[in-house]
Amino acid sequence: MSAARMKYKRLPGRRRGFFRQASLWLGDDHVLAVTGWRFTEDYKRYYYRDIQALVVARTPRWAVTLPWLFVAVVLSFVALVAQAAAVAWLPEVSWYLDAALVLAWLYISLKGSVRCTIQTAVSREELPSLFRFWSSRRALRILGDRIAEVQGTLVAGWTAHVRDAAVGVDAPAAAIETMAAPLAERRERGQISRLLEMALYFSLALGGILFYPTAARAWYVLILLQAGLAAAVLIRNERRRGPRRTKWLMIATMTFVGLMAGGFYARIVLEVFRAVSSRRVPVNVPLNPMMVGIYTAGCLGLAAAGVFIALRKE
Amino acid sequence: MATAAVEVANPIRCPRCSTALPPEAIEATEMALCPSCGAGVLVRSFPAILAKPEAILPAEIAAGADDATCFFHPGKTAAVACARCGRFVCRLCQMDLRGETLCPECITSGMAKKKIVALENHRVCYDSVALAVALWPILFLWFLTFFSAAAALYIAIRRWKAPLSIVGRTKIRFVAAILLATGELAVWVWYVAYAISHLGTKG
Repeated sequence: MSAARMKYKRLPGRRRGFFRQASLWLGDDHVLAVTGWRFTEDYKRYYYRDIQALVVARTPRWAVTLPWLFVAVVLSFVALVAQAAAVAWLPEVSWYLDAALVLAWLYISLKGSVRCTIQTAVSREELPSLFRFWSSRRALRILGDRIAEVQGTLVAGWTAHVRDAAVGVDAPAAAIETMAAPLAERRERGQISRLLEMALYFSLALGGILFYPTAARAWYVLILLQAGLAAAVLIRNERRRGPRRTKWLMIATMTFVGLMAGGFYARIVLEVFRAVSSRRVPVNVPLNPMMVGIYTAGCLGLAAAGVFIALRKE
Repeated sequence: MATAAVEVANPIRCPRCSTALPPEAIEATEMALCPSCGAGVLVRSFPAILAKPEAILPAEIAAGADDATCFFHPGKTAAVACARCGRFVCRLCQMDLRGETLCPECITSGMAKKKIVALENHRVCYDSVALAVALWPILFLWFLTFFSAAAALYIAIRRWKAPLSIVGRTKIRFVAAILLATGELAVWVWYVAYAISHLGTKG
């Protein structure tokens, strides 16, 4: 029973600030809340048998995490260098992406943030790692299922049983349902599904901004196609139904769009840096026709696969 | 319209305004509204909320000379033996920790000497310290790297066996710090050797 060798599994939600950090870990018989400064860690253990409630409340949180900050700084740096090199459109694209990032952060901080508390008989404490809604909901589901395996669950209408029983004298047995077997995994909207959506929107925005100067009709068709696919995925997800196979399509789309968009951007940035170092300004970065071809074919292929999976019977 | 909160010993409260939540909000499977602050609230409650606080059993007074007595309270009857030191302790002194019964002395010394991991609540991550000392000066104060690299090497080697994070971490940061610091020192040695030889040929 050596706790030193206990395997912990990290729960969704992690706070990585410039100085402070926080995370939540599942152990065999307890959940471990880790907080700390950059070089120290403080631990708090909440045993599954003692946890009374997990509560999440929507509230604005203005937390700047390192990944957001890093991306914003890199984009600004690229924009400044590109501006100095007098590149035709790269500074605008970088500034737009930067602005989009700031707007997204503002929106998420305002509308997608929460405060989460864990309650035991002797304490009610905030979990600092859970400050965004989607990660809190997932963590709540995983942690809640683990606690339910240990304690059982409360039946629907348990508060009525409590009102009927003598207050605080005895736990009404009718309100508790023991759990013989672990809960089956629930099908609900997952992280991959969200990432697919984000990838589609990102690809949409990038396609619109990057290929605007080329004014090729094919791009607008592709962008419309992607918009349609994104809307379809959004509707399906909101209705919480969709075949399992879409997961692989989601992964493929995400990887493809990410690689292509990242590749385009990285190539342009590299070209600008090379030009600046050899003092060749202004810089002209033509789009590689082969890359454009691959991108077009990939988007069409993925869209076709999506339509096929959507139309196929379960 | 605010509804009465559920009457349990420890009511469930809204994390935003600390108001006790009504039954509708507590039992809702989806997000409900807090009647006080209007924030969307999602609650998952468990049977532990219905458990009444456990009463501490009083320690029994030793009846006669034949009764085993508590090491810390000679007048009380011993209830159990400490799993670590074997001392007999009464009900007041017995402490259960992850299935083991320990005496207060073992708990105190275990916490002080960090021998009981389940009670450990703070650690210094020397691997992160070593890596930061090796890395940060390269980015911001490169002329200090001669000293910082030596310091990073010292920390990494000196603290190689120090416990890392409880949640399971490899020694990769230590390895990275050692490699980085060795590289920095190698560059400095090369630079100094080059400068000396260059000066020598000029002289």
